[in-house]
Amino acid sequence: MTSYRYIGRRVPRIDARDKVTGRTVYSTDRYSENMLRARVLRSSLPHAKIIRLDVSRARELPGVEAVLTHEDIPGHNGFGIVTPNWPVLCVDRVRYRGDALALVAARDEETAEEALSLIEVEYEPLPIIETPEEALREDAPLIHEGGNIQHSMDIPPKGDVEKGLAESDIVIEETYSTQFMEHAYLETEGGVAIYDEEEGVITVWCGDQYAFRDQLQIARSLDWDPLKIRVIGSPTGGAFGGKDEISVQIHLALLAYYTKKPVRLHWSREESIVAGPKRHAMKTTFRIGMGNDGKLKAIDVKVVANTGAYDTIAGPVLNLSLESSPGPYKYPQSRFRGISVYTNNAMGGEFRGFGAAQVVFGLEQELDKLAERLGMDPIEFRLLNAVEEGDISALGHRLQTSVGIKETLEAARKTDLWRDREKIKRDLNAAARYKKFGVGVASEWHAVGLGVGLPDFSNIIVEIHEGGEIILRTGAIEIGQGNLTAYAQMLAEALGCDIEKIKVIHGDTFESPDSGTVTASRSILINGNAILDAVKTLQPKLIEIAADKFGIPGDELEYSDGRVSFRSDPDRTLTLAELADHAGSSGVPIKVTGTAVFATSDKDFGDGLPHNYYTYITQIALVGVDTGTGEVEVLKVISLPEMGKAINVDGVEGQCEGAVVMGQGYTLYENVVVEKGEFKTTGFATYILPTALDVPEQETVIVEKFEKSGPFGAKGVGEAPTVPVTPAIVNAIYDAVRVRFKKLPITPEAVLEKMRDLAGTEER
Amino acid sequence: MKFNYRRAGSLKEALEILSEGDESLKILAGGTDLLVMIQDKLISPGVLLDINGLEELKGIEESNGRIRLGALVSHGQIAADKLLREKALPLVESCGEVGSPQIRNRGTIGGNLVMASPSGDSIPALYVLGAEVSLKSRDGERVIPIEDFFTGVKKCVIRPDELLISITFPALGPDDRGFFKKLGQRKALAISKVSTAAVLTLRAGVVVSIRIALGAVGTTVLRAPRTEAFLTGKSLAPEVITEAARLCAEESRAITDIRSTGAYRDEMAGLLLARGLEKLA
Amino acid sequence: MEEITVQFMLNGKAVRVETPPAFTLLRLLRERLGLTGTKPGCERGECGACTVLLDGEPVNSCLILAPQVEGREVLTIEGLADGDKLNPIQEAFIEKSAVQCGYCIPGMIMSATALLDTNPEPSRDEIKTAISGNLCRCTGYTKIIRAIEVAAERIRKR
Ligand SMILES: Cc1cc2nc3c(=O)[nH]c(=O)nc-3n(C[C@H](O)[C@H](O)[C@H](O)COP(=O)(O)OP(=O)(O)OC[C@H]3O[C@@H](n4cnc5c(N)ncnc54)[C@H](O)[C@@H]3O)c2cc1C
Ligand code: FES
Ligand code: FES
Repeated sequence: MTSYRYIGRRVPRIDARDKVTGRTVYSTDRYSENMLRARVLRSSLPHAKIIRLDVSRARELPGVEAVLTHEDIPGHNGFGIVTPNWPVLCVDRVRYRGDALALVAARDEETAEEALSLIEVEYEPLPIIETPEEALREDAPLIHEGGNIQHSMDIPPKGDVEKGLAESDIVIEETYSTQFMEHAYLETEGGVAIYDEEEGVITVWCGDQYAFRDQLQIARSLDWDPLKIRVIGSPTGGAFGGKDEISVQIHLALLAYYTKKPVRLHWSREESIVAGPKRHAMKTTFRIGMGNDGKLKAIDVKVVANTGAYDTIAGPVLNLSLESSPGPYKYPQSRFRGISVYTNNAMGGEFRGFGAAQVVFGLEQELDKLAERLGMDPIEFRLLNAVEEGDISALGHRLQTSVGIKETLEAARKTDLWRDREKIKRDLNAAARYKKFGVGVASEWHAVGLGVGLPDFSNIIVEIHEGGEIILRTGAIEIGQGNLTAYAQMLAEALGCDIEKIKVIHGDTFESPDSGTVTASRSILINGNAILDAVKTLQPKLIEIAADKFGIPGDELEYSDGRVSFRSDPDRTLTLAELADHAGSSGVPIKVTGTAVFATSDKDFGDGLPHNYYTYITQIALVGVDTGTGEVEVLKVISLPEMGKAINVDGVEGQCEGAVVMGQGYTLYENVVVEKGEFKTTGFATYILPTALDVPEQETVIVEKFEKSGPFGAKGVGEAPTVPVTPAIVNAIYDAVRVRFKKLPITPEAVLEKMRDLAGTEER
Repeated sequence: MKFNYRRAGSLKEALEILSEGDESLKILAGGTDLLVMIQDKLISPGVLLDINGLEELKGIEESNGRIRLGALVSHGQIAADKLLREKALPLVESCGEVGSPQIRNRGTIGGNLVMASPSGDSIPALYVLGAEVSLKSRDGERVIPIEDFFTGVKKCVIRPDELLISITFPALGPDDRGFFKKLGQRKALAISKVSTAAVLTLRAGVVVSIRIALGAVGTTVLRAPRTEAFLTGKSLAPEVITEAARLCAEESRAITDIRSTGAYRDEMAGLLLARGLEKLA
Repeated sequence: MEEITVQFMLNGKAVRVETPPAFTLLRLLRERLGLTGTKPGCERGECGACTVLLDGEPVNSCLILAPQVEGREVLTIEGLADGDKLNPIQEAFIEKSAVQCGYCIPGMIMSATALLDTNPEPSRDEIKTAISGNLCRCTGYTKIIRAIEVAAERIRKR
């Protein structure tokens, strides 16, 4: 094993000091004199024609500086990561409750608010489509001209699934459904924009996940030179996929352009829930066949996604649902089909776990059911079917990067919680009057990177300045995941310098290069490789500078540990600071660029499928079910991720711990309730997140496997731990009280009802 | 938000101001309900009258076996009070479960009563403690038994010119027992889906008297008279408790909303009673 | 509405500031006093991101009106460190990697400060209760709870 100074250790975050002192300036923390306050007029109906939109009274209100409608958009009136059909400001139709109709900028919040109330809108209501089932009916009104199917995907079948099922000894079939889930980042969408007329530059500060894409989307709507739009998206107070799409950016830029004054727009919590994207609600049907020997033979999956009114990134989400749906197991025959359907419900979008959380909830229950049919231990059963490196996946592509599912399962089997689970449950059951306890397990493979055929690259810049300060420039956004620290660790390790010397400039389209989006658990792998690439260019450059300084040929020198030294006399060295000073005095700054591109899979099913890298993970949950109230308490969760090499141990643990609680919320509490297009959950009093008193004790067992094409062997870990925690909890509930759930969230009311039904059948 | 702010310097001044009959005026205590209602645009008052300086509305005292709470006493003060823990346990338990530490530090018992929400957590406890509420206006004071104070969902008998001054109730004696239990959607920051409070006098294992109140299961907090009658004179044997829970669920009249279903709430009202009683048995 | 003047102690210093009467303390701090460490997350008392100490007690600054702090003492996240020297809770949050996006952290640290000021030897349950009004979407609370435990130990040893 290589011994590292920074890699694989617990390294304190480089941004923590500013965060614990309140000094970090988030985009919504920017205020200045004469800054205008903006508000957005949202639709008051979920589906309607706009007959009349009259902003004249609002424009006349003293203190109002601008009221904008679709007529004021110079360029394309739409945005969207994949297809830009989400209107910046609606023209003649609204399709969900979050649709924007007009923008107001005024001298203060109160005036802006009042101006909104003076805007007159006349609607002609249209029928409201809540579900894909309704949208697919023959006589359903069309939400978009092209029809109500937003996207459909059939992965080319592998073998003959019907034959595989027919030849199976045991076949099970079930349909699972999941709710819309809210990201609930603590910092809601917001920011500030300024228009510098002299330079022709519009600057937008806004929490996001990809400043360079925002830049293009803003430019497209303003019909502006993208190079004259500066977006600063970092840092932000949580994102989880919800800030990858446009929220306030275009609205802010428009208002800054028209008012020529600094403008601030910060969504309320209600606006964030109603207008912003959610985790898609989905229905997934599995048919799975198995032999009496416990080997899986065939899987047939059908997914129907409720995507809401517009596209954003719904296609790729659905695709990843399909890719994730078989799990990291071998099936000789398979078929995966899905459709994503427009409705007037909440907006479906990108969310950590990207299409996987919805399907793995069902799959991993199905696997437990199959194991139970044969009386097999759930981990043994998964081990029997798990894939290995070099195997052909359920989808038909070769797994050519590290595959650690077996290792995670084996490590799970060795944990005290799993090994001693019968005794643990017995002891707990004996001590509790009203509760029954259970232990459950579940696994997942989670794709890393955007997938084949999509531009999946990174550029970074490394500079060494006089005095030895090292600057790392990356377009990546710090959304809380700790990537800046990981980049600094990788650069410090590769250069052999102190991490304290490194300053990271991030997420600014004018000050950093395009490193791609911070989604898809991709940023460690791709930016790490770009950093290593930069260091590869940097070292010869440093030797060249030293050669110039010493006046000797470069091949007499070598680079190691932050210095260039004489091969013949290792004590004669030049430090980075000395090298930078020399370079500076000769007018050649030390600046190199590093790039990296994701290696892709051997197959291409279109639309980004399939992927080449996966995080593998197993999670175990211990729960207690109150048999009187139906309340489920999650007592303990152990996460066992295989993400290649862990760059920062605290970082990996932190990702797992946060993800587990997010998964717990999804499983037990969280639900964006929309009835007839109207939001019933509008804040944290009705959208229930776990508090510190509700969460389990946690343990993370890092299962390392070296991935040769990753930086220091790393892949990524951001999303995977949000996913199997749900079926692990559900399987644990089954272990405790013998009832299963096909629908999320699992409320106490539902638990009690199921337990009643079970008692009823047992009596009969 | 747009309104004016006035601070009442004395009780007399406050009552004078209230007597002026300004309909746009609202009384501000802890603000944990009022400011949320204003933010949600449910109300838009022109003036807030801050009563937090009024000494007459503060303090927790016992005299002659009766306990007096000023209307401005916070949930946090009640939850941490030794005297109340000994002599008004259900109230201490209920206030200890309100919202979060931050909410408990600001939210007052007076505000909880005037809001008159069926899920107001202090209310079932005050029912079973047999509390009385003192209301004062420029023209005089009236004392109202707690059960006559509420008239419907978020409705109570207080007049716009009145201030809620204090709450009084008899201290629990050595033979008295009591509890408050609630179910919310999570363990903190949880509005009650259902709550049950009870005070009973137990002698030699027999229930001499009992009062039961149920929160969040009706338009106001409800008593459970049939269950009370059934339990009186009985010992707390398991089959008695089971029957009491069944009766209590029958007496509950919950509805379905975003937090829970009517049927679940009704059943849980009984279950919480049973769990409280089992601990005392 | 006419602005009014409020005077109070802010992070140990007397301040006098004009405010619209309907401003919350949260808005006063952020928009008039430049203290943006105190965060809005819901403006309904439901998330705790805006937590400050009022006369030593944790409160939601979104549910207090600016004029209400007249004559009182307010402590915000900016008032915890002594120059460059962080307080033990801040140090422990860094050391135990209790920070991710950081947006909930000022409120969290204020709640923890109030706890350890009155109870230097809290149990794990007391810690959880003390931060139960502070939502965090990133960390799952595990490392936050651990950091508060570590800070408590350090404070006791002093
Ligand atoms: C996040 C959050 C969580 C909560 N959780 C709970 C909970 O778990 N359980 C629960 O019961 N409540 C809960 N509440 C509601 C609230 O905190 C309580 O009802 C609290 O007791 C209200 O008191 P207050 O002093 O804040 O009232 P205020 O908001 O100041 O006033 C409420 C109403 O009462 C009037 N009023 C107040 N005092 C007087 C008086 N002395 N005389 C006449 N009128 C008066 C006001 O004019 C106003 O109409 C929660 C609130 C929030 C924001
Ligand atoms: S902003 Fe004050 S509690 Fe959320
Ligand atoms: S660190 Fe992001 S919300 Fe707590």
